[in-house]
Amino acid sequence: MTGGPFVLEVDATPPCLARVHGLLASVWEQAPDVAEADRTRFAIAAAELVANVVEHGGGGGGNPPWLKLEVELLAGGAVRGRLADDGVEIPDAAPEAVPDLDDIDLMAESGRGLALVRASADEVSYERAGGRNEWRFTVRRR
Amino acid sequence: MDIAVDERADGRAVMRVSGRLDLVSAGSLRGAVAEAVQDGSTRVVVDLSEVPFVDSSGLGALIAGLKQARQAGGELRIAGPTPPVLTVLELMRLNRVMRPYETVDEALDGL
Repeated sequence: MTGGPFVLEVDATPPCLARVHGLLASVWEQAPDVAEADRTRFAIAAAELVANVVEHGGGGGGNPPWLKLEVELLAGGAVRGRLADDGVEIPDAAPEAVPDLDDIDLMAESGRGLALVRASADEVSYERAGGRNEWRFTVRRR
Repeated sequence: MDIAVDERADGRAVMRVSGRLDLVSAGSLRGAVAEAVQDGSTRVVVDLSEVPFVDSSGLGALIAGLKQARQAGGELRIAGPTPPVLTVLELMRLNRVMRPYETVDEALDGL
């Protein structure tokens, strides 16, 4: 089944995380063919990227960034997300900068976010253009 | 998210977390574990059976709690993770440092 885009456009403040999960709940109602485990992986990638904007996007001052999350249902039970925000540029977003899972100290208290995104989604891309960050990520049936 | 803390007389504590364990709520869990360990409850079980979702901040809080408990000579165990939480733990290989117990009683056994 294909469908969407389902869209959430909000200020990147902590309460918006609940709205991300609310959006996804309404997406899954329309997506009986997306498996539970794949829903989980998509939710992790989306929520982690949004949390990253909430936590770091303001650059330590001023107004919270704007963000827009779009979710599309693709054929074959795949789900595609697109997250745009006008927060600060995300350092270390390039695939080669994300630590390999084997290289993360298991006892580390932080630094897992982007590795978790890349471990969850099957395709991830990041672009900085026109003062905005844009992530595209897809979860395919495994 | 809510945390119900049951500090027992024998130095063990059970924390039942309800709701998403994420950027918004991770600090509360960190605080609750720190307080329990300071009170002498260094052997902690975190009941995750009512947690539908965890993110990297939530994982960080669990690891922080594990380290605090161990530094005080105790241990932290997790019980009853839901399928999404188990998925995240396994993706990040944290099941290697925090073996998930099926129930609180199993986690308390021998703790």
